[in-house]
Amino acid sequence: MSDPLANIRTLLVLVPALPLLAAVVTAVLGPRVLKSRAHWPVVLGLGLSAIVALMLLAEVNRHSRNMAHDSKLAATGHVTLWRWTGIPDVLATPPAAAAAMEKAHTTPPRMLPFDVDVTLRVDPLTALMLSMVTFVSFLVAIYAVGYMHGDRSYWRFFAYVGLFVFSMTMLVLVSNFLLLYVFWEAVGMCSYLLIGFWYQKPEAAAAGKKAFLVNRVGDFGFALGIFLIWITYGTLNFHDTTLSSGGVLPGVLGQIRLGDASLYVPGGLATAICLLLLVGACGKSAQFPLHVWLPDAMEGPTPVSALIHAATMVTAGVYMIVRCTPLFGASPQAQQVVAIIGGLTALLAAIIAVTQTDLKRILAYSTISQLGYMFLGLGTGSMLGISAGMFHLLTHAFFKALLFLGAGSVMHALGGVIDLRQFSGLRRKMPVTCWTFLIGCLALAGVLPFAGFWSKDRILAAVHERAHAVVAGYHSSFPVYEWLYWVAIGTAFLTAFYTFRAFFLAFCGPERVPAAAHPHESPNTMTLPLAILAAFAAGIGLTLEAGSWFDSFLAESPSLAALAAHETGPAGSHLHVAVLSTVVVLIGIGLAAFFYLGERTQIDRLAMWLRPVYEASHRKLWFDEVYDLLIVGPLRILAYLLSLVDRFLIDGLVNLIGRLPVWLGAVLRPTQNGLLQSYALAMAIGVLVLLGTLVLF
Amino acid sequence: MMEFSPQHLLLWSLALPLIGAGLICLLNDGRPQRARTIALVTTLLTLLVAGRVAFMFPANGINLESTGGAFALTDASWLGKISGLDVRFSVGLDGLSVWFYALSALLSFCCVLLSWESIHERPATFYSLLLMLLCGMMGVFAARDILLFYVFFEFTLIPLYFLIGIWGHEDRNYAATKFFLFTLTGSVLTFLGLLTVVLVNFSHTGDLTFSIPKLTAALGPVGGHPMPLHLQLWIFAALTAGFAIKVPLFPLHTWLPLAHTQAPAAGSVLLAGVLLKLGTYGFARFNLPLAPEATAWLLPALLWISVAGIIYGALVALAQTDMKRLIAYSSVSHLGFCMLGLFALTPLAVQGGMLQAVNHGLSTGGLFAIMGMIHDRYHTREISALGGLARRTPWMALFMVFFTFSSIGLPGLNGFAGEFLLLAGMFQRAWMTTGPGGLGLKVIAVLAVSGVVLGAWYMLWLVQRVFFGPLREPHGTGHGHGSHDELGHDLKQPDRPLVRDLSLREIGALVPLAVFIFWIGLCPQFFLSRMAPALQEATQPAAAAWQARQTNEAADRQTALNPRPSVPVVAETSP
Amino acid sequence: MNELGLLENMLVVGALLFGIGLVGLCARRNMIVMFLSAELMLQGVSVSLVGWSRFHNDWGGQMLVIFIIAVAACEAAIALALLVTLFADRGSLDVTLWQSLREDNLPPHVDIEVPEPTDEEPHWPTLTPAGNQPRVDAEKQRHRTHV
Repeated sequence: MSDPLANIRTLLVLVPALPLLAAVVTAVLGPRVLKSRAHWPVVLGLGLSAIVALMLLAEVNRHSRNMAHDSKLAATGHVTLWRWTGIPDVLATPPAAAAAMEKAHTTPPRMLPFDVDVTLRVDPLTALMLSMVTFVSFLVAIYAVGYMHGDRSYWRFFAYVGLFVFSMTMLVLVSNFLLLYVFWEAVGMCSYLLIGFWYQKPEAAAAGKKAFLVNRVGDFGFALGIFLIWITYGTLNFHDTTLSSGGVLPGVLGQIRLGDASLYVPGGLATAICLLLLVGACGKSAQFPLHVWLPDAMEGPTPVSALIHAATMVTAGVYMIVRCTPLFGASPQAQQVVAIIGGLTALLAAIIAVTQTDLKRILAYSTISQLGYMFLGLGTGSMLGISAGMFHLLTHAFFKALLFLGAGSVMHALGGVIDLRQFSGLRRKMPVTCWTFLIGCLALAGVLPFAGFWSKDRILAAVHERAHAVVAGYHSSFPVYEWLYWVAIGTAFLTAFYTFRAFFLAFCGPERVPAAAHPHESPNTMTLPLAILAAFAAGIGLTLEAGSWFDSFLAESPSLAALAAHETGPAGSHLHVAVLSTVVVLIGIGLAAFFYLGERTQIDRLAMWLRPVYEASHRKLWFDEVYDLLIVGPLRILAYLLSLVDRFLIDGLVNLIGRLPVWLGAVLRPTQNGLLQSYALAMAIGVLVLLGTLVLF
Repeated sequence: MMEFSPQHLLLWSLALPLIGAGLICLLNDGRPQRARTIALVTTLLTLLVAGRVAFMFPANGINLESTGGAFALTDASWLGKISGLDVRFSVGLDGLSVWFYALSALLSFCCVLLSWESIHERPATFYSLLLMLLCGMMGVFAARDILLFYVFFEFTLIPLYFLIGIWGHEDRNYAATKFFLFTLTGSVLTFLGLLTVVLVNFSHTGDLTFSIPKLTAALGPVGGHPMPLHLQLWIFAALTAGFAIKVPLFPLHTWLPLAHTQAPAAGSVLLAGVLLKLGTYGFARFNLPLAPEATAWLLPALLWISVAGIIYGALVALAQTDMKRLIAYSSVSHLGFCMLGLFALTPLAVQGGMLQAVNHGLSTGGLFAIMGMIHDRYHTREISALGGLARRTPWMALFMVFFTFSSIGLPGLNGFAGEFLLLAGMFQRAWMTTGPGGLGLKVIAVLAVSGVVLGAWYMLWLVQRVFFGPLREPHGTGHGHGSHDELGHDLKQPDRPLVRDLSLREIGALVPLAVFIFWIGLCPQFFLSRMAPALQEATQPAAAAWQARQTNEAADRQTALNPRPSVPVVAETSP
Repeated sequence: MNELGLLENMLVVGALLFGIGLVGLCARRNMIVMFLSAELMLQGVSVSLVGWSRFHNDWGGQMLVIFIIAVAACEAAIALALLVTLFADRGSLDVTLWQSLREDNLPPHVDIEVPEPTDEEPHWPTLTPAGNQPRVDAEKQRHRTHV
């Protein structure tokens, strides 16, 4: 074949095109023609898309070694669909761009264009994300067939899901910061629509709005970061582009720059760019302090919670930071902030999760906490940490989707009840759900052979390594990473505790259900995805861990290749880390069993004893209240005051000017008294005055 | 098929509305059916003709050198023979005006469909006024002679005055009068400024021309007779008086919420969609090319005013209880974005700003249309009186959410393209300005980006309150389950029909807007490439003047830091 | 008498006529008299026209005067006809009776009112009644008041 990448490019377009097509077909035919069969296009589309994505993964795997090191091959791995904007000569060539262009043997022109092409490109990182996204979405779509059965807007749900998967796949495929932002917001929009799917529920509508707005705050930082990148590097493309005037314009994450780390601007500017990007990532991945939308987002249908708010969309922030690794590499300070945010979020969310009574909310906080782990891994800035973060992203997608779908199964059985105080002992009525949920819990807690153990252990190892490593250009008198390591260990303990607390409360103990509910095992369309996900949650960690395929494959991503080359070799064994985390996890599970299996009297005493801590955790550390008090409230008051100013001061001034002629008229009005003779007199006087001035002057 | 030249098409597009208005008056039988049919056919024909002209417009200014950048140019002596002044009937399109021209025709077509059933009183007058307004709007964008421009500029006021004053809501007389007087006051000063420009040019060249391109060429920095700064400032102020009120720039906006709230739906749509753009267009057409140095001198202040409008409009919108008022304040905020883009003077920003002006016409036009549809059904504009309409009218909710997304700049739709470009351009301007002024500009850029967050807040709040949540309808229009019979008539109030979802006619009014919203969002290049050359020409002098000021200031700072002559003196006196 | 002196005299006469007419027009309230005063002003102008005409040796001025006289005659006829109708309307020719051209919210101009002659009985001095005051019978009083 003349072009070895022709296959890849076809597959590349198919992956997002199939879900989009499915969504459009569902939206057009759904309400009238398909009705209760509205899931077919989307399930088929996502299934095909997942197959295509896996084929893509295989193809990329075949070519990956060449792609990372052969710039010619890498350049052909793009598909340009159409030109979004092409505005010539808008930016005086910034020094960073000029330096890189000289490197590429191009004379830098005086002005650079603003060219944005809708370009898709693939590398191992993207291929991994695509496979995960489409596969999990496919399973969730099958699950939703059972879960959403009989909903009055059945077709609307599937249309939204198709649209979401399209946006998400595009997000990982595009090769441009602007388009990344486009789909970044597009998945946010889908999330808004899906959270507010049951729009008649006021909480759901409010939660959708909140999610969108908090994400907008994050996007505010993201947009500023993108502007800064543009000004600094003269382009928004990831890949190197050919200018219309001839010559090569090196992309931000293109081969030329990746080949030479000195082409990345260091110092304060790099830190500013990275921190602004981090704000965006915090919004989308629900990191402190922008995590408040995710727990509320649980108002949406459960498959949505599983799909968007656990497995796929929230990982966009992680993906973006991994994608921008070279940028972050230029600023160890920013990486440290990433790690701190991650560690802090992991701990705070775990603390909150311990006392929640809503099963979905516990899972939501655990998602936030696990995402914090991923950020912590990325924050180490080493290849070990980044691949650990991505590894955790993959395993987490499976076991968290599993847990959410299990929770959904419980909800389905209990007629929408999800409050752990209202039911218990479901294991007999719902054996499949119970066992799959248990596997999910084991994976989340990080028990030895299950997926979560491997990935979490790697993150801990990476942090541990980083705490004792010497990094050029980075000095800190305070052992940040050492502390973060212990924070992560503590979080591991809390994770094990709250996970099994939830499991014991829901599935163990005496059988107790709400009066109106008739618990039953869910239909096959729901249990089948559970089983598949459980298999993955149990096995994927070991599969990927065995052999170093995952690391070496991921390291072939252009963004990571340079970093991987710098690493001195495979990390040494971290047996003591693994032992420590296992011990901690076992203690957590043991404590949960002690408190929640059997009589549950001890825990109340403990809660009384730790009253303030309990209260703080139960009230979610008062984040919502603080935001209301500090931001929303003052802005609302300001808005009200300004509306008064507008109505009375500004409009009052306008009206005042409008009245002025009236008042002036009132002064002269008495002269118009209707008496003929006074007019005659005025005329005579006027003539006299005129004559007088004529004579005198 | 007959082949028409663009010149003829342009003239036809101006004449068709007038012919239609005349026909409506002639064939008036007092009932709406005939009037609205004629109006619909006329606007449709106008739209087709105008659309054909607009899409014949060449990209990147190709083949327009011979006419000075104008497309479909018609130039004939008009008042010259009578008055001795060289006032010409000169119409043509260029990159600045072509999309506004097309937008006018598009929105008018939607407006006729929108008013189809809501206008019962004096329908013939209504539709003929609407058509006259259409003629005025297209004329003002096509005019290439100052006097002709001004005639059309003022001519747009009169039909709208009657539209608001006769078919408006409860406070219509006050609103119409305020709107008319406020804008007239400003535009009279604008006229004074325009005449001054003509006379200044006369004093230099002895040519008493009213042609806009000739004047901009002669008085621009290239033409050799740039005006001194103080004169430019006076002219800038005079022109701004009219255009800033039209835009409206903060704090001259108070007529807008009132007029929008009281106008009938069609009036609101055209007011927001096209008439506000007259201000933006005027700034780009006259202020920037004629008074570039004044623009550069005033630039920080203008940017501050724009960004104040963005934030202020958004915050005040947040506190509104009236839907149309809320959207009116959102217009203040959005127009702040347009002006910010225009005044940032980087190519990206001005293109984004002008694109945003078109976008605002589409999205806010659509929002006002939906507000009109709600009003037709519930006869209220109170946010608190409504809720959960998505249940009752899912199609309306779909369009509302869609236009909301467009308005808050969701990527993939038009608002994003404009906002991103103009903010990127503003950012560029701020970060490339060194010295003490740079910090202020950076603050402006960041504040402007934060306006995007606020914009999402109030619009989503509106959607949530009105369309989501449990169903809540005003007393008398609500229908509990089972209280209406099979045919949809309320059993308690049989004369009042059930509130229905959008009819095909209403969907037909909204779909054209949606199509363009998608088009601009997915491929803005098509639109940008047609407006880019003219915009570049219009803003280049001001940008150059600003650059020169920056260089001078930097040089001044340099000399202030190193006072050269003092050094040898010190050396001599010290032993 | 030289020409300049003659012109001066005629202008003085004209001015006097005009002034007298003006004062009359402004001060008198009977419309006929006001009309006559206006005519007087017109004639003042005519006299000065004649003077200038003679001074410049141009007959145009005197021609104009004859024209004015003719027009004034017509005008007088119309004016008197109007006055007759106005009189028929109000029964008086006082010009202040017609004030309808004044601004809406202004009060009409009213001459200072002469107090109407009162018909009340003057308060004559009386003697105080002599002797004891008679007792008042309440019942009777009431009865009387009802009668």
